[in-house]
Amino acid sequence: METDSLIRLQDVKKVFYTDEVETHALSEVHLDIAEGEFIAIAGPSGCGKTTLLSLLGLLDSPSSGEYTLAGESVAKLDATQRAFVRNRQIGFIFQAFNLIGDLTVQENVELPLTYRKMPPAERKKRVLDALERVGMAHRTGHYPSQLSGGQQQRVAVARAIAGKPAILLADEPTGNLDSKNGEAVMQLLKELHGEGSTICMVTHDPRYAENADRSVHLFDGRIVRDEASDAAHELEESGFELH
Amino acid sequence: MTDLLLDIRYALRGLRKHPTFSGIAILTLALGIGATTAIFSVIDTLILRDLPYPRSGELVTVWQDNRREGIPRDDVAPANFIDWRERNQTFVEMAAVEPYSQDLVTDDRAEVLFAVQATEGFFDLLGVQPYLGRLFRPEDHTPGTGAVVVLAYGLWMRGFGGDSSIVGRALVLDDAPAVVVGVLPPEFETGLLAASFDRDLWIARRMQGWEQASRESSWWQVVGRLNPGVTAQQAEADLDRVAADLAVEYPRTNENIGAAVVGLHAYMVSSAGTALWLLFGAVGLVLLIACANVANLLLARGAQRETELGVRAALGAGGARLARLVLTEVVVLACLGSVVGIIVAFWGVDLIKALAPGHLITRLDAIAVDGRVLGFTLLLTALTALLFGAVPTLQLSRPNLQGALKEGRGHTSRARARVRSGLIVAETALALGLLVGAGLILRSFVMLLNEDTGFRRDRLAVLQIFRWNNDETAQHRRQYFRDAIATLEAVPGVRSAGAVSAAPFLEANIDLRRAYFVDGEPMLPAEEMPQTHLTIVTPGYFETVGVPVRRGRGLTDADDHPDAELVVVINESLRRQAWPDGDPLGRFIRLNSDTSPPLRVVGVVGDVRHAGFDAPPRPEVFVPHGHTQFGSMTFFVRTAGDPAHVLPPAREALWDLDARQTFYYTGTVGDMISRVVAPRRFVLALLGAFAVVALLMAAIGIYGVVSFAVQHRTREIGVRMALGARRADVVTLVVRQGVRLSAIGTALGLVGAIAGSRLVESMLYHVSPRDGFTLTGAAVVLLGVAAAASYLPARRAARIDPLEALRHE
Repeated sequence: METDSLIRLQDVKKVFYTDEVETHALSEVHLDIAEGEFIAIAGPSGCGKTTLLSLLGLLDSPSSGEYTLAGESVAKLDATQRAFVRNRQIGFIFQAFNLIGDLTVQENVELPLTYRKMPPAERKKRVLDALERVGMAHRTGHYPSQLSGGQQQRVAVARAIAGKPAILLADEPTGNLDSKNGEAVMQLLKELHGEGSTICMVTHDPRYAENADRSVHLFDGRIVRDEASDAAHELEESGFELH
Repeated sequence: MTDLLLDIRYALRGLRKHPTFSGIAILTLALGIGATTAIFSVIDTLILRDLPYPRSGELVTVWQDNRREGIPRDDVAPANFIDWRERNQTFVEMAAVEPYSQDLVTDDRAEVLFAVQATEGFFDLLGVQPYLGRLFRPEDHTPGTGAVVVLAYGLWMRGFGGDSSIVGRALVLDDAPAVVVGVLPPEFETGLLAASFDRDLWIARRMQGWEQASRESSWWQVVGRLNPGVTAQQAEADLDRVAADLAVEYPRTNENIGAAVVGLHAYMVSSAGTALWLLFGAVGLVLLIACANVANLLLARGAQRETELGVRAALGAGGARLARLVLTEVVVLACLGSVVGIIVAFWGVDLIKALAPGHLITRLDAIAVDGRVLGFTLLLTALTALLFGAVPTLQLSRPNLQGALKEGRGHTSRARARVRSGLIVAETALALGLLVGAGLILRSFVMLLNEDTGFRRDRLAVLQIFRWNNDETAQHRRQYFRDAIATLEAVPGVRSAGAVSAAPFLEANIDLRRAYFVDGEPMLPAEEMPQTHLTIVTPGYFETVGVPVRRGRGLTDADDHPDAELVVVINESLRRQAWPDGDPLGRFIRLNSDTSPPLRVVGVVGDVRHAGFDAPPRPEVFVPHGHTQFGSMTFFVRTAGDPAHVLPPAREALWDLDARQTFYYTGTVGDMISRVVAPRRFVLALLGAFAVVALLMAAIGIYGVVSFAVQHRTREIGVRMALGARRADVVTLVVRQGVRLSAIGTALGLVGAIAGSRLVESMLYHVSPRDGFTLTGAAVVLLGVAAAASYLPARRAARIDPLEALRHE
């Protein structure tokens, strides 16, 4: 089990200090995510979901504990090293899409690849592949403001997968979408998972959490439950393997 | 009215609550308005205002148009002046003046005074009234009567403590008595015509018999008052008619001698006029940059106020009402900037007076920030408010209601961002124009100072004396100069000394010009004979000054005796002119006629520039002082250390020789050069200061725009960092934005600078107005400053925590 983990958190803590107040956002978190796994992180507001996702995405560093990504310890990396790992190993999908308004769809998707100094021809191919994968190849020259919310999130997914990262981190990817578009994005994530992507998704919506193989429930900064989702149970009970 | 007061109160409160914004805006406006006001006060006094004489528009200067030698404004020969005055039909009166120096003898020492000898009617022509006593009467100009003088107000106060009993007192001037008949008023222009020095006293000129027939040499400066309604052009045509008659009557001296008439006002501002208008244009650019900067600041602040303006609009404020609100802040800012600007203007005027070449700009003391200038400042303030307030008022009075209220934070539209970027482009383009102008003048200045003047300029002290009245005989005078040089060489710190009649870079030279011909070659008619300058030197002059001997030898003590053979040294220019292919050594030249003694050439020395760095060398023949009785000489003293330290003991040493010796000029060659380059240095100093201010303002503008952009792109920067952008990538991204805007401005500025380069062409020296080095250098400096100004917000952006940035609303 240990050798198969793509991500491993061991006794991770995150403490925020504001004035004289010490806030324990995460405590004693142990988490293993295997390659190809689709994991949902759930819990009430303020339980530490986004903090956990930020640590996983190397947007922040743990106050203590160990974080191993693809066999490498990444807990103590400096800002430049973290940027390097983020760029190559992690793909982000945000609730608010976070597309850059002044860039076209193609340029937005190309953005993480430009930081890799990738040759333009290869960048272009990867961008088109990613946009085709999410069904947005016909909108390459459009600006985000010219797209619907669902389309913007599909472009954001394309941006996340264009670099072929080790893991996709999705923070409430359906939070800003209506139910129809939300379903469509979830379907896209399921398809990506089906194709082998490792996905870690923060959500507070139990319906979407059920799409994951496994649900991790946080409360007051601690993992209080880590279980296979109902859908996974059903699959196991029906004799199919998860992966 | 109540609403207006309320708006003013809001504006003041808003400015008080944002002290950084208010401080930068007010200081920027103050620099622009203050500098413009200061330069305007100079232009107003020197160019726009009438001269302080009754009906001053009728006053003109009159010159000989010497077409023979190509000198369009030459001094006037006395006999020509007399004929012009008698035969003209367009002048009420004409008078002539001659700059002069007089030694005022008191007790056992003498003081040199700068004087003007004025012909009859000079003060009446100007319409001057005496401050004390009287001015000249016709009988004062009659030969044989007692000499009378009028004192300048400055000398009266300085030399006689403003004693009103001075009138009627006899002074001893050049060993002769002269009675003071009056004192001139303090506002009288003492540098009139002879602007190089303020004058101490006026002497009633008595026309000498020989002068009344003198047409060969010209040394008088002439002023006149025209008949009412007559223009300078009509007067010039009238005098040209008289000059044509004189050319027929006296063909040898007057052929190709015409007349030139120039308004007195135009003449007095002509040398400074171009430079002052150039500086006014430059300071106008600074003001425009200041306006662009403040407009940008207002737009940035407006973005922060979008919600407030949106709420006001939602509550019923119309566009006009919002415009008035913004406009009130604009006017309040302009007024505060103007008040501080007036203080800056007072400092600026003091600075200009300190920097200005006083020996070239007359009426410097009259420059002041007075009511008339303050009226200009008021108009300027209104114009400034319009310039920097128009765009923000238009933009901010139409808030994006939906965006402002929905997002609850500043909302910057693409259109507004484009306006701000456009302002930055404009101000960098203007700053580049100023940088190029200052760069070209600086390059010219350096080229000028690096010009080879033909002698070693370091460690040289200079003392100019006139000894026409001190010695009883020519023999005594010759002996005095031998003794004086020996005395000077004995002063501690002196290495050698020599004397010359016409010293390079010195204004009060006695330039002697002579026609010459090479002995043995056919003699040309007098009007076709080539001319050379005749310069008298003591034996050690060439070695002391460092003029190299190119051929043969210099002059020795053995040559410096009236009984010795008359040998001369010539310079390279004369050698090229007289012996273009041959060897001059051992050959003879004669001056003026074939009856004059032959002068054997024993050496050739290098050329020396006399009139200035940019004046071409002139042909010269150097005659040993021992063969002459010349009394107007300038000592050059080569020192081991700082020449300024040697001047006091050198003066004392010469006083030991003759206690009543006066010095017309004492200083160092460095001082002389400083005076020569003073006009260029003045323009360079002010233009350079304006360019630095412009650069600083452009930097502040770029910094402001980029900082604002960083603030509004925080979330975007967070996204980029989440996607793997390193800090260096973020710095590059942000710096690129500032540099890109500046690059566009630089490109436009280069086009403008090339198009407008002719404006400074007349002030350049050996530098093309499109000098590639200057244009490139200015562009590099500007882009460097833009990069530096962008780097600070870029560094701040790179420190953004991506996690915080993604939460940023």
